[in-house]
Amino acid sequence: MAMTDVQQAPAHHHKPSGWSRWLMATNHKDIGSLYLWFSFIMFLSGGVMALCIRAELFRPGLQFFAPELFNQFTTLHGLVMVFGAIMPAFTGLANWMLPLMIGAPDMAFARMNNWSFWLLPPAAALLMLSFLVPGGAAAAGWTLYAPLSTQMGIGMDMTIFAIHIMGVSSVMGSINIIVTILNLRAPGMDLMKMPMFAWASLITAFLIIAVMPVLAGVVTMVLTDRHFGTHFFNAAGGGDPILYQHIFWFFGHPEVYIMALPAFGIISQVIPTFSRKPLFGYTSMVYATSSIGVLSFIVWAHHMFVTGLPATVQLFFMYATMLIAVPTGVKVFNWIATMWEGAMTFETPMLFAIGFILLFTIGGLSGVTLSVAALDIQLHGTYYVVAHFHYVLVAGALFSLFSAMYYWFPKMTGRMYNERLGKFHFWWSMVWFNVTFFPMHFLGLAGMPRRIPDYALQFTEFNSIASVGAFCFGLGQLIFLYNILTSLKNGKPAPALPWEGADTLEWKIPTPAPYHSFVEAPQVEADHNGSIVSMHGDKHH
Amino acid sequence: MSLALNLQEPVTRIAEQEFHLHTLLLVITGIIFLGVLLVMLYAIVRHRKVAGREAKQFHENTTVEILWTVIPFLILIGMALPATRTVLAQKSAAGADMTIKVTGYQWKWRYDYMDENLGFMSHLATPRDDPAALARPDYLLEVDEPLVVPVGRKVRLLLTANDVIHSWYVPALGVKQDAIPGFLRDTWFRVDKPGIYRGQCTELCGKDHGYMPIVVDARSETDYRKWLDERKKLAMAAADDPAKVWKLPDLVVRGEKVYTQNCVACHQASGKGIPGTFPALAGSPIATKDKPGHINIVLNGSKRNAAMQAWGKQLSDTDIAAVITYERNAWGNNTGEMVQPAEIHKARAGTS
Amino acid sequence: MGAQRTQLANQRMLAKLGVIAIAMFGFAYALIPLYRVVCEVTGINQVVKADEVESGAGTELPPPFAVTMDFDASVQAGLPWEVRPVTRTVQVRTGEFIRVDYDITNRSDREVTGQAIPRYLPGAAGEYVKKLDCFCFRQQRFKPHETRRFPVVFVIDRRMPASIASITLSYTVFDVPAGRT
Repeated sequence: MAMTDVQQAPAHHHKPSGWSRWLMATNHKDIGSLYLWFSFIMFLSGGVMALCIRAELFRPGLQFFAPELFNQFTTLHGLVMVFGAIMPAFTGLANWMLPLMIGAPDMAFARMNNWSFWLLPPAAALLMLSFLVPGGAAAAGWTLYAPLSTQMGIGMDMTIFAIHIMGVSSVMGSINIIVTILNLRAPGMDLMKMPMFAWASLITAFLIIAVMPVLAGVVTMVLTDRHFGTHFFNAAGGGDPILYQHIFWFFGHPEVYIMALPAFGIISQVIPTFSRKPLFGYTSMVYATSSIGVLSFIVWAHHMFVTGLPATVQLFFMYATMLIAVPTGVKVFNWIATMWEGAMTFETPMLFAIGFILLFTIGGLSGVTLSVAALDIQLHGTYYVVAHFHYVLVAGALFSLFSAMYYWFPKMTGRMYNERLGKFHFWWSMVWFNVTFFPMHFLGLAGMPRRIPDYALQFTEFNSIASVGAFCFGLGQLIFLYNILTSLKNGKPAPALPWEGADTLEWKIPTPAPYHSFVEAPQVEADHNGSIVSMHGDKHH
Repeated sequence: MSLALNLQEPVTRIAEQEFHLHTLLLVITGIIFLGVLLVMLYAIVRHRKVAGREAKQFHENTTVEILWTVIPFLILIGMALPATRTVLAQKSAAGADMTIKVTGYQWKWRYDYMDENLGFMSHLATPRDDPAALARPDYLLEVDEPLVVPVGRKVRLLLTANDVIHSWYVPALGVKQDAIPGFLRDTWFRVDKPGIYRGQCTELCGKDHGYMPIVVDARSETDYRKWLDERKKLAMAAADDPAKVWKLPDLVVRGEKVYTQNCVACHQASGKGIPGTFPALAGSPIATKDKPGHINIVLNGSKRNAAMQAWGKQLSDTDIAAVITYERNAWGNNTGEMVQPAEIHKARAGTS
Repeated sequence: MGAQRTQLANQRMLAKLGVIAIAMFGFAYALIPLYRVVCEVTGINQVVKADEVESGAGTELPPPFAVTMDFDASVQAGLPWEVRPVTRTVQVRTGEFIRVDYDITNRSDREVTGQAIPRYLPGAAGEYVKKLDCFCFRQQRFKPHETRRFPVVFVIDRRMPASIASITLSYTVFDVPAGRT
């Protein structure tokens, strides 16, 4: 076999070393690692901005930052976390694990994969450097609403270019994911058998291809409004600022699910493993995930209930939004039914998965509350919204990512992480997350607007509590970093099957995963959720 | 110490409906959450792996799946019905007793009483950069001129904005509506209880988004009428004679007020600005030497820095003359020079 | 063997997905005309041109009813104009021709051009207010300190739903910078 392989893919036979291994990386595992490290660095950068925000809000009065710098922090915190941390982390995870889970030799387009990753650091640099240019970074909120975004300095242009680049990167990454899943599955790995993580990644990738270009389009319109005399969003030239919001949220709401669906996928792998039971309702999970994907396109205007939409439009978007609660509820019930009558153990991945279900449910329920247009009049633009989307994005996306990292760490590295530190990381995060974000519900109900650098005195106590929580939560993430770094070096060697209940394809190959896995497609017999009944004919080196 | 856990006490029928809607939703979602939590806790305690315990391998049950799809759907319908009623009520601004036009500016509000030929700006009244201000009970929630309305009357607000999108939000009234530049929106309220109700701008509108509060002062019909008469007289008296020749101390006093309302946000009370972003006026050549240049930049704005607006469009000749005079005599800029309203009038003529 | 076929299939799919992505970029722009259409149908945005008034002959029209009309104007930042309706409120009946006046003054010492855009509340009323004459049909150029009175002539379509009992017509007037006339 060696001869034919050499001709087709010469690079596949040796493991390059030094910097070129990373710069020229075409191996899905290397690229996956790059993505994951990149997103962790961005997570820390965005986290530092969050702590600047919380430091300023610890007590009333301006202590550290001028209002315009504060606005830059809120804006860049959002952009960095969404486009720099969460999305690349999921793409990285998909890169690392998907080929292993479906029996593919690599991602479909190895060189494009390299490009998708290496576009990200320059985009991140543009964002970070924009703090240093005259006028500072973009300060119009991560939503970059026009016409405020047409007022900003050059920092806004840098942000727009960064969004373009990150958009191209994520579209290329998504094409890779779709083609890999649709064309490179091992024989026997049917679509309706493949792991939920693969399903979630597939649907997410379609969402990205559908909406990231729309975002690129709308920020391009802002760019031309700023510099080339167009009037898309300027009423004086016949434009409409509300049109910006319609286009932005046409992207923005699917974007929410781009950050949530992969999390659902991860949880659907972790819960069955540690319950030692098949995923309950696999088929309904696939349908629920797909219908969430479809529904996410027709709910965007629930972000615009106070812009003065006609009553009929408000009602339509209210009903459509409430409807999303149904498939989301189905997913939560399915996970609990999976745990029911199982034989559960509670290693760190499982703890994060359970924390995810609990806190994501809170975020989902506050989402239902916000979907009620009549009530959204009170809550829109207040800290209630901030609380809501941090329950969904931190306790949702981030917790699922931690769960995934602990779950697959042995497979990726061949070493075990420190279980005691992992559990400590979970409990620490769980407690301080809630101390940080739960009081924000009360602040929002009491009427505190979001994105303000200073506040009235009645908001003091809860803000102080939230700030203390945020600093503790932030420090706790260093435990994770420490655990990863020390375990990479000194962790106990991982057994081939560290989790008794794990039955998907990635656990059927040697640990750590060979540099070139599945160079020949295996013949598998699979059951629901990628559970492998039998496999033969796999080759790795 | 105030740990408010709920929406503010409602003083309009709509706010009351919103309040009850929230209570209803909180109860329903609370029960759902408790249910999820309890079932999960039970499983965690009873279905953990202990010696000899094997996991049951069931993974499907159509009846259960249908039930937990249909029941949430029915619960949602139960929520949607009262919500729909409130949405329709919020949207019916017709049949109002009076109309007030609200215009959002960076960073203040303007109120025009459409039927009364009365209008005024409403600015933040809390002093910035003064640590002692934190002792004021209504820190950041006080304005120089509140919106005064009569109780028991349906007040319709027409909202628009002058520059970017703002949002007019008073929690106790249950009203929040974006003010959009170049477009017109309306909303309404009818206050049941006299009192002072405070709110804030809730749409990020730039640097001082956190510093444009809203204060609604609801008074009895007679008190409102009294206020209206006095306020109109005041407005007439305040109309300045542009030909009047002012004395330096008067102009400086007037100018300081104009400065605090319009300029202090960027150039700061100290006149030192914010290095790198907003230039200092204290000791700057333009505020100490180049008088025509000074007048020109205040009137017409800066070509290099968009943050410096053309104040000629917002302020009267007298106000501009006063603020320039103030700037040329404050913070050690002791030029002793004066600018009279007539000079501004002339400078406007030269502008094109 | 199979590898080459897979590669071909992959590339075909890459091309298709790439086309979708580019099409979606275009879709963002397509949303603009789409939005205009939706707005016109629902009366959220109004087109600034003289309306056609149909005779209504041959069709059964609902009986006329009374409507309160309020008039207002806003001047946007950058335009040194004062725009004021001479009459703030009138009672009209649907199907009747009405004339109201607006006074516009240029408060500056230079020539200024402005453009007015009508906005209606409720938005749905927009399509029924048929304007025959309006200063908003074209840009208006004003000499320094010039004041002019403009008539607005309109009729409210008798097909307007009776649920609309009052209409606010508010002009937003914008500065037209020199060279963009």
